[in-house]
Amino acid sequence: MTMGDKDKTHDPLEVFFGAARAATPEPSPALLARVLADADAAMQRHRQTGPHAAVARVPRRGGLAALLAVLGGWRTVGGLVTATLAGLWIGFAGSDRLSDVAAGYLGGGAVEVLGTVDLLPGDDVFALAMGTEG
Amino acid sequence: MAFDALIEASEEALLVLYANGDSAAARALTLRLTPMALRVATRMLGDGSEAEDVAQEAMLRLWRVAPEWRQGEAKVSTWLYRVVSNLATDRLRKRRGVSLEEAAEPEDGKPAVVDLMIDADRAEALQVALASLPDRQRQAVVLRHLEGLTNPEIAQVMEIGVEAVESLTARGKRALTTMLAGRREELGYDHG
Repeated sequence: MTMGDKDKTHDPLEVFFGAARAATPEPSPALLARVLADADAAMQRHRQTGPHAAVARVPRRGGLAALLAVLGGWRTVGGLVTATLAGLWIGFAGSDRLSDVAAGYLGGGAVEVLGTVDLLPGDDVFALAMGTEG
Repeated sequence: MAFDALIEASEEALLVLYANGDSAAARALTLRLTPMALRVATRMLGDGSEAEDVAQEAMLRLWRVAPEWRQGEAKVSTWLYRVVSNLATDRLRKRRGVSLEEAAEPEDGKPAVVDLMIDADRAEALQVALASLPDRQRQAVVLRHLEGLTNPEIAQVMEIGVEAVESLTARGKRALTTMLAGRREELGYDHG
């Protein structure tokens, strides 16, 4: 006889607990059927309203993955890297060499045209726009 | 999944299978967990019909939570014990308005404790006595002495410390002893 058994025999309540344990209520077939029907209905709802696969514990995101998520993914980060490298190159090489690069891309004539473009319209164009001429 | 495998599978594994659309897992969980839910609800409420409602509602909550179940965080049975206990406690609170002294007395037309004892129906006598305990004491006594949970398990279910569980069960048992053995001669307690 274990200590626990000995304790139980001395526990005046044990006869009541034992009787209650022996008189265990069993679920009726009707209750089991209702529970199963609920299970089926809930399963259907899972299928209709969202990912119904059981969600295992979601692993924590690493630092790089979190940064990528904040910036909008690899595509956005690729653009940012290109722009950053271009800025660095301009900073080191100086603006004089920009015309060489532009000539490489657009041809020498295009660079000359770019150099003579009047970006601020003259008085005549301004007057035309304001409807004051004539 | 094969029937044998379902019998041996853990409740958590069955819940994951259910969440993935396995109807056989739902049946296995229903047969395994509904009796437990009904037992606890019956012992907390002392009313078979209400206990069935609580057991069904607790199982429904299990079905609903299945897709988001976080594996390894809690035992399914512990979670269900907690839900059943809380649902039963809510119902007990709704019944309130009746003082503890009044609740301890059997309702008109129902057999008094003495009659139940003479009929040797100790289980029902205990149920009557349990009904007069404060909710938390009743919950702790039911889980410890009728469901056979350990004090740490009960602490998890009730979300309290182990010492608090020990205190609740000790006070509950003292009150039960007083109620059931206080009139031992009258009740024929010594004769069986």
